[in-house]
Amino acid sequence: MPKASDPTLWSLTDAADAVAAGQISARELTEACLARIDAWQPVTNAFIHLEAELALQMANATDVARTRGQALGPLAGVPLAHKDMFYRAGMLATCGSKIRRDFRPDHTATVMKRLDAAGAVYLGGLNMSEFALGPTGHNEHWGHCRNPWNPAHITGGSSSGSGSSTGARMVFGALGSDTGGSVRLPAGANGVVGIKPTSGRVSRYGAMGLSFTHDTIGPLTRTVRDNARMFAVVAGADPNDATCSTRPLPDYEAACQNPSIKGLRIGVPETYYRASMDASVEAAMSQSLKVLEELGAVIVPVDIPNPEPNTDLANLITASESATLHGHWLRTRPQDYSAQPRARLEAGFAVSAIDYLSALQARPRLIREFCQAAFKDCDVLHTPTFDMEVPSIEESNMGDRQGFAAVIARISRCTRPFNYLSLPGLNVPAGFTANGLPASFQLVGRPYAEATLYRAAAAYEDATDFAARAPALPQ
Amino acid sequence: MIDRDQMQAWLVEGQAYPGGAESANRAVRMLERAKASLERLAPGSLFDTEPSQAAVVMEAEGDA
Repeated sequence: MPKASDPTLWSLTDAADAVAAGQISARELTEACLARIDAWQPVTNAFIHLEAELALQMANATDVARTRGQALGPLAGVPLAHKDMFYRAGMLATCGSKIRRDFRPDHTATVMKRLDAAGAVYLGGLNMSEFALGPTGHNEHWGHCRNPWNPAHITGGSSSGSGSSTGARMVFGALGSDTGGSVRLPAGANGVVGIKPTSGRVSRYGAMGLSFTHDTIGPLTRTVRDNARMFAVVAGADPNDATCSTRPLPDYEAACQNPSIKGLRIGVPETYYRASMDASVEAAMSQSLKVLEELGAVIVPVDIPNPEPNTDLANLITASESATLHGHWLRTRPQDYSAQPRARLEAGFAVSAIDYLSALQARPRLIREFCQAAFKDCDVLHTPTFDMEVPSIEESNMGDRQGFAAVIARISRCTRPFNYLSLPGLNVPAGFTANGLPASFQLVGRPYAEATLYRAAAAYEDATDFAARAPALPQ
Repeated sequence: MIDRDQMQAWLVEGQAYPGGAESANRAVRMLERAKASLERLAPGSLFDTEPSQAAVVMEAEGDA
């Protein structure tokens, strides 16, 4: 595909390859992104803090390295920004909160070190739901993040700025974290690719925690190949995170090259996930399955265990673990939380050790039972990411009013079950719904099946043009 | 059934958290759902299990 004249519209892989080939300097690319941020930031509020000076220094270092003939990393010169919860020693990491408004950690997250080593340029910290609590992108301390396809609508959360900035082409990619859907939902709402990896595939050292049983970290990008490249950089064992798997990493980007899905069995759950879809979401899902079938996939109806009981156990675990992390502040400065996060956190105080451990104890059995039932007749599952049209900021702005839990549950009902089960899920853009906002589907696989998900998604992306569509620049 | 008044007292006195009646109601709803779901999903004894086996199961069920 010929590259656009505006380099901010290139894919991440095209941009990295162009820098490596000397077709554009890292500084030119970074300056182009900074100009685009100037245009979009007043509309989207995607950044909490912009680190323009540092970004230009990093870009200059890449350009010097290239002119000296030094080896460049796979992301050399590519401007990225990240959910403002990945620590960099001495630099601001607000966690989207008032409590950590001025927090500067003394250590650097493993994922940040790996991106730096790959040559990526760091543009700054992105908006997020307060302490990663919330699937919509509302934030009372830093201002709501807004969707570039329609700023009256939510970005999804909690990695709100990661979705918005990547969707608006301000950055070539962004890391987010996913505890119940917080990568996949903003990826879905902003029309970009986002992966929630298998638990333990990406180190969480130096990342703000929410629920250590469910927390995962993954990239949001414009294309599937971009995602595979960025994921390959951040994934893998880490001596600083004992929960990380030591399994060797497959070549994720190779899985996206000339991808064939002939014979791949794609399972469509007959219950729950498709039970309450809005009509235009259903149309987008049906169309995506038609494309996948035309590419040679075999579409198989599957009967999977009802995920609602799993979600009840997941909620109990998340409440307990997050209340543990926030206990001191909840007791000493509850007024510094906004109402909804505080209301969600305080429920965790009521969980007994026995109830918490019982929910954890059942997990191995339930993971096994789910995998054996769900993947008996298929290789990957296909579900909507949002089963509703992306709502407006106003209609989903619940605070702690009666019924807020039901709104949260509805928005994340298709993503949350897979965190308890530790399974990988990939959000894939699939057009637009009746209200003009993006539609997406989610591919879910067995543990460590990220390469299979990338292969299927890349085949779909090659057959459609959604990855090339970007929201119009604000006037 | 979990007693809501007891739950509120536990939050305020046992956990030193000034959560009100609505906090207690929310916590009770979450606990009652979770207990019912646990009974449905994993009835009986959890004697021969432990949480870290999740990683072993993921390895066994993982992509080849």
